[in-house]
Amino acid sequence: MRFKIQYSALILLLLIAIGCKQNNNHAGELNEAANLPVELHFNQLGLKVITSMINKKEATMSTLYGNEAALKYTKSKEDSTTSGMVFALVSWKQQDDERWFGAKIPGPFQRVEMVTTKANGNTIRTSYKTYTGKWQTNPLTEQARIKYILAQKAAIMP
Amino acid sequence: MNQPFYKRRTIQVLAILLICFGILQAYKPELKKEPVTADFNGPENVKAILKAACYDCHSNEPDLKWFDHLQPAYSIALADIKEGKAGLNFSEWGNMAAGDQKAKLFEILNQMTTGTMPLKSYQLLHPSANLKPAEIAIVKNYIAGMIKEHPADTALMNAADKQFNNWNEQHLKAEELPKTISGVPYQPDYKNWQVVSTTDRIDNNTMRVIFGNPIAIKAIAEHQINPWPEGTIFAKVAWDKLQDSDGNTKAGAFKQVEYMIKDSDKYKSTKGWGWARFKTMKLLPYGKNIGYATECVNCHRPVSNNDFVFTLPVKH
Repeated sequence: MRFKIQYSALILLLLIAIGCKQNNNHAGELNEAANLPVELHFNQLGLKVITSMINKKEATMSTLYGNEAALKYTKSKEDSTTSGMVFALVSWKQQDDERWFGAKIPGPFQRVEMVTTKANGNTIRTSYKTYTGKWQTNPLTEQARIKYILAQKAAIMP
Repeated sequence: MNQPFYKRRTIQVLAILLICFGILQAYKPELKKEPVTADFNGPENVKAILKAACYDCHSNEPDLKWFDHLQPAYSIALADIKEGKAGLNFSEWGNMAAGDQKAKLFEILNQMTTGTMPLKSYQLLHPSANLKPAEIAIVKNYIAGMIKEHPADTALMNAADKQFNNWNEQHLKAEELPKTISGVPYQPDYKNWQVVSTTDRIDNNTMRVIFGNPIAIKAIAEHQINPWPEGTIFAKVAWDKLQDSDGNTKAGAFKQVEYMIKDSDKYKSTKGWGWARFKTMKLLPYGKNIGYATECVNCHRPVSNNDFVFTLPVKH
């Protein structure tokens, strides 16, 4: 009997030793830091992916979304803005992917930038706002940001 | 209590076991010797580690110990070698294209760091396969040296432009949709789905968006993702990375779209997931034979405790 207990204890210790070597890969978890602020209800905007981009110097990554009009504009070979376009650019700080050496994934959420276009007589009016905790405009940089966002082409998705 | 030696129950049982063991030894299929044609050609210190930890099952030079020659260990060893070599054979390393070699090295490293490989059962009796952190660090250092990020050359940029200019929405009928050899279908609707996450792959210079169908997105919202619910589908799209001299990177040519489709009954033999990859704008299905999904499952083994899913979902 004592023999059996000794063996069981040995096997148990062995199993524990093997088990301990497994690193924690956060099974079943979400990327909490990267989650978008709940109050944005982003998924409910019904926007689709246009493309995504990475800024290596700033170690950020972004995904550009848009409505059908925005999608059509970024897929077209011409550069003529139309009214009724909605763009949303979501940005994160990057982090190393703990589950794959050689990959980077979204880290802390940074901001959402929205560009919308509206007809104003014969011209198209473009407006910009950004969310980093609350919605704000940014007169200093918004022209550059609008230009950047409207310059993006749709990523090819067959 | 003082029975003669040969009448003791323990002795009798042991004798029977010994006879069975002896009979088992009669069955000994031959381990076919195959030549080393294109051996792994990395640095010696890395090769020494791979030889000690991997070559028994992943090369044409298995170094079987005396106890490996005894049944039933011998049969286990033979099965492990057959399966191991089917997935990776260091003796034929040089026959792989350079890009495939690099991808394989990252896979090897990730299997090592997560303790997925070498197999635990193998390590128990083969202590040389028990990789020390310092040894894994040597392999990691070698493989990290292969990460090269540089601005896109004109060929890469031209490929992207050409694809964009020729890109027309395809409207394939259901019966025209490509399928893998095992029947896992391409799903054109992925581009209308929500996003699960994105990845920047510095190991192979691609960038990816992982889409989830409405079932997947609901599971994320409710945080019920291990296991993922039946009917979950992920679509992972990969593009070339086009980096400019400032480090700004955009999506270049479309490379492939990959799917994981959860159906525990239908895909019982491949961990409950249907696996598919469709390459280039022609959407050529990956996998020449039905066993291709084994390759998918094996690479995903480091996350077997996470329903074989690598992606850490982001709530949008």
